[in-house]
Amino acid sequence: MLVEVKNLVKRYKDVLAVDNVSLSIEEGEILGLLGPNGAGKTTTINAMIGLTKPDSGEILIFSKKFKEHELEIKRDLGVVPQDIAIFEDLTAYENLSYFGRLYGLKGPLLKERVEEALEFTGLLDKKKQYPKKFSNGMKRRLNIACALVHHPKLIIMDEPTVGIDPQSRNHIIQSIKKLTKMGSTIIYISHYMEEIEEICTTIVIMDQGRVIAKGTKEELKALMTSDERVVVELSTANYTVVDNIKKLSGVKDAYVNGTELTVISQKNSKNLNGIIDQVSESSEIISLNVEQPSLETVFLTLTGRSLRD
Amino acid sequence: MNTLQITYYTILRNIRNWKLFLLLIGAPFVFYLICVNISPNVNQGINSEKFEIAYLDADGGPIAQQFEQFLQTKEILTAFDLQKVDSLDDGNQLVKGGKIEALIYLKKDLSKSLNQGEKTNIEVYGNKSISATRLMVEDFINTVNTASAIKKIAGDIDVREVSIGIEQIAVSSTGKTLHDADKYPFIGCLEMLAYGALLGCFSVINSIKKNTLIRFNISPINSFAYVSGQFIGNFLTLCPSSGLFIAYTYYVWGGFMLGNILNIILNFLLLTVILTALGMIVGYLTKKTGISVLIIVCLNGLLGTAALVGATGTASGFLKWILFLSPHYYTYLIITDTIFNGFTSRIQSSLISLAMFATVLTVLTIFWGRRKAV
Repeated sequence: MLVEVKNLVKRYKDVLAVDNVSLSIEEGEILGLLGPNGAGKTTTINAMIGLTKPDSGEILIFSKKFKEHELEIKRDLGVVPQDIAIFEDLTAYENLSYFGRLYGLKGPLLKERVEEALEFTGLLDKKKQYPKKFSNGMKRRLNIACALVHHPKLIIMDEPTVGIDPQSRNHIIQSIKKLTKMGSTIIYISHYMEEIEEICTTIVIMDQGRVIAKGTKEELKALMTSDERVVVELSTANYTVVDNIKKLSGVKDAYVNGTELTVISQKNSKNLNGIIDQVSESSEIISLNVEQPSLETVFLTLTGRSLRD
Repeated sequence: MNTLQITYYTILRNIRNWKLFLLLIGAPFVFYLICVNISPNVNQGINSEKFEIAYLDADGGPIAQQFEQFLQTKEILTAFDLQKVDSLDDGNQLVKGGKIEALIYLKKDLSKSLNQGEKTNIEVYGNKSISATRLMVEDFINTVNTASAIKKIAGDIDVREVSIGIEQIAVSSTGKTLHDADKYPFIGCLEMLAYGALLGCFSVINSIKKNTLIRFNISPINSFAYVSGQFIGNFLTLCPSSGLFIAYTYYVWGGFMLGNILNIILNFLLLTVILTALGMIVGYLTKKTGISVLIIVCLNGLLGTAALVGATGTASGFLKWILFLSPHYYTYLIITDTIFNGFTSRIQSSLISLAMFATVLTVLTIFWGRRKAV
């Protein structure tokens, strides 16, 4: 086990930020940490990297207690902070060189690692430029490069793609995929469901300081397979049809939002024909979609709120 | 090793932040250049301005005779215009009327008391500029003490202030003094130098605001290495400004130099440590640029004003107390005494005070600097 967090608790005055959280990460695993703002994701990570002192609980990284082996553990940690943390008055090369030296790199090895990190993030041709002239996406990439320059065993990325253009986001996602192929162990925090689905092998959903679900994306979606969701786009808004549909066998809930009718039924209810019959009596059907549960649905069901709330 | 790397990159970043660098190093330099042109002109002709003082001998004993001989020495006659008065009332009238700056009163039985081993005193009645007189009387007491004529008089000059103003004027054995008009640009230059505290302050606030502090918190280095590296980097960046000030003082008053320039260099090293630490502490405590600038400007203004009123002898009340906390004032004393007096006990005590400030502030900087970014 590369990381083991046991019964972590962190309280800020009256607010319980992290409530008895336990996590574990195997070597080579890409763990996605999902949760709305204030869910306790960043506090958990901050406790793991020594930025916040937990009230109780135990943190083992590389099978060592963080408190007792702090500097030793930090040497093999690469952290991409949520906010860009680079020196704008040092060139891209100097930034990496500076941070590389802090991890004990020097001489030809430092030069090699710096060039490698720049190439990995697509900034090699900008190495002599100052980040103040960079776009936000390029700054984010340099932010990532700073965490990778010393070849860490464990990489922690806290929302590395926030506020950047799709091109840069794609570049970052591809870079992370490359890292996963190279066998890196990553903890990835994001608001973006699709990124988590694309990158992570294991997903942990947090809300109000607690872990509310953990598993692979298939395991999490399986939690939702007891329900089927049918979305019908109508030519006109029709509220009267809802009561009739609710009477159909297996229907758990139905509601209209504008011209869109949503019907939630038990799995294998076989009531699709009945729904179509009821709807077509009063309106014309524009489109019909039987939805499989997405991670968003899983999240919404588990937390009762949208991820961006 | 980490400390040296952090020091190197701190200096590099400070220099590259050329607007701030120019403001903190270039602006004082221009100010010094302006003052260089003003100060020597003002300083000329100081020797022609003598201090008007009077003395009253009610003792008539051997100590009084010794004092009279002392007053007739070439050094004293170069700096003072002396006159004898017949009564204390006459002398005080002259002081109050501003005709003389001080009255030295050797009271009755002074010699007799000293002969019997009793502790006694020489009284000095001053209007505003009694420091020169005080120094002269102190000098006499030291002479007498050295000759073992009296045992316990040292330090017992009873200063009776007619008005509250006390002017601190250094009097050298050559009679050269720093003119009042020179004190204003001098303290002004010191204040310009003291704005260097902003460098440490901005350095700390930037590392918090730009999130770079977090990089050091998560790196495998201890916080002491980081804070000391940042501290030394800021200190070394400010050193050229202090160097310019040393060059300025040497250029302007170097011809009168009686003391050791190493005292001045040590003074500026300590002052630069104080400024760096003070700026960083303000940065750590406020974490906000605007309020930090306000605090540093006000603090510098207060300490500079205290030094100025202290230097011109008009310090009173609150400012008199602030003088004890003013590195500007200690710097003023060290520089002027080193140049015009050689070595005085004031240099020693001022250097000790600055060293104490520097130590306390450095410890506080390291203490506050160890805080985490989150």
